[in-house]
Amino acid sequence: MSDTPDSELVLLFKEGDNKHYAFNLIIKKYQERLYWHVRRMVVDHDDANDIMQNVFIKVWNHLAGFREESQLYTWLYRIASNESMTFLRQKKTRFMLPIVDVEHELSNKLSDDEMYDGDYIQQKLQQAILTLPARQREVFNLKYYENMKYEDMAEMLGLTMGALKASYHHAVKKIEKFISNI
Amino acid sequence: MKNRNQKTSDEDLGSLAPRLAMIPKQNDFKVPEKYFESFAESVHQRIKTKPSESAKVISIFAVKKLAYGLSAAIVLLVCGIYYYNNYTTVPKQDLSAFQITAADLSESNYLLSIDEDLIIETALASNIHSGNTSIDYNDIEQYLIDQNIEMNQLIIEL
Repeated sequence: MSDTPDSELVLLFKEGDNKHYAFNLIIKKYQERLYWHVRRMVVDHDDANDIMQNVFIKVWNHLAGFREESQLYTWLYRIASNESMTFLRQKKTRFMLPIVDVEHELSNKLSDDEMYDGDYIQQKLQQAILTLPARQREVFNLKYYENMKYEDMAEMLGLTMGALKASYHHAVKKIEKFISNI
Repeated sequence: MKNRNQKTSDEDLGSLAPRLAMIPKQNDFKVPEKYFESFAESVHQRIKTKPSESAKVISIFAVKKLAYGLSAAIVLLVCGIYYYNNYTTVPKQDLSAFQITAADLSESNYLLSIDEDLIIETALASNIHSGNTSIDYNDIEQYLIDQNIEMNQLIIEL
């Protein structure tokens, strides 16, 4: 059932009779992709879980008004992206931390995290990724791990394809430099 | 098609960042057992929970607003005190006229403590007469007659 086209899922949800059923199908179809995207942004599983719950509560509340001007998949990613960014901003504000210290804290969390079992080089790669500014990190993750098309990314993040390509290019260069210094 | 795109992307990465390209792309993050199987149910539980039952979250922006309000109030208070001290007080040289010394207070207390009967007795005993106030009874009577003032009426009014 996870192969049901998005347009059918949205229609099923909007019709109302099978709202819960359609919503369940949407969760099943997208939960893992969205989860890994969020998890890479916030590192901690509990934080990622909270964000994911918020994402799907928003989907439940707003899907009836979804005008299908964009794809469901980019719309879901946009909500997940916004929630992740809001979380990181709140983390910074709540603890009065500069954003670089948030990334530093995430990096430390990674090395102590029982829910992460990367080897040395993978840990270093994650640490390198965590040195990037949040938005640039997101662009890198979407391209590098999820191989998302630039045009989908542009629709999702509201940026031009040129800006995204430049952002990815700079991110790759920074990570390469970080890894070269190990 | 996806594989071709992936291959092109990896080739680009190889030329751009050879060391990064050598690192295998893998996901080393883990999730609790059966997390994804139970996730939909946990979302439904959250949706069923009424908003009033959820914990109230006070936004950091509300605290900020309060801080801004307090800061504004303090600034206004300081400005008010400054204005009051510099523009609404009597000039210092005029204050000397209103300054009361301990000696003044002592004299005032002394005068208030004197019995007025004692003053009258003392005056009579000293036979104090002012030149202008020495009026003969006959002169007073003559004045009243001249002014057509009835003596009895005057006594009633007094």
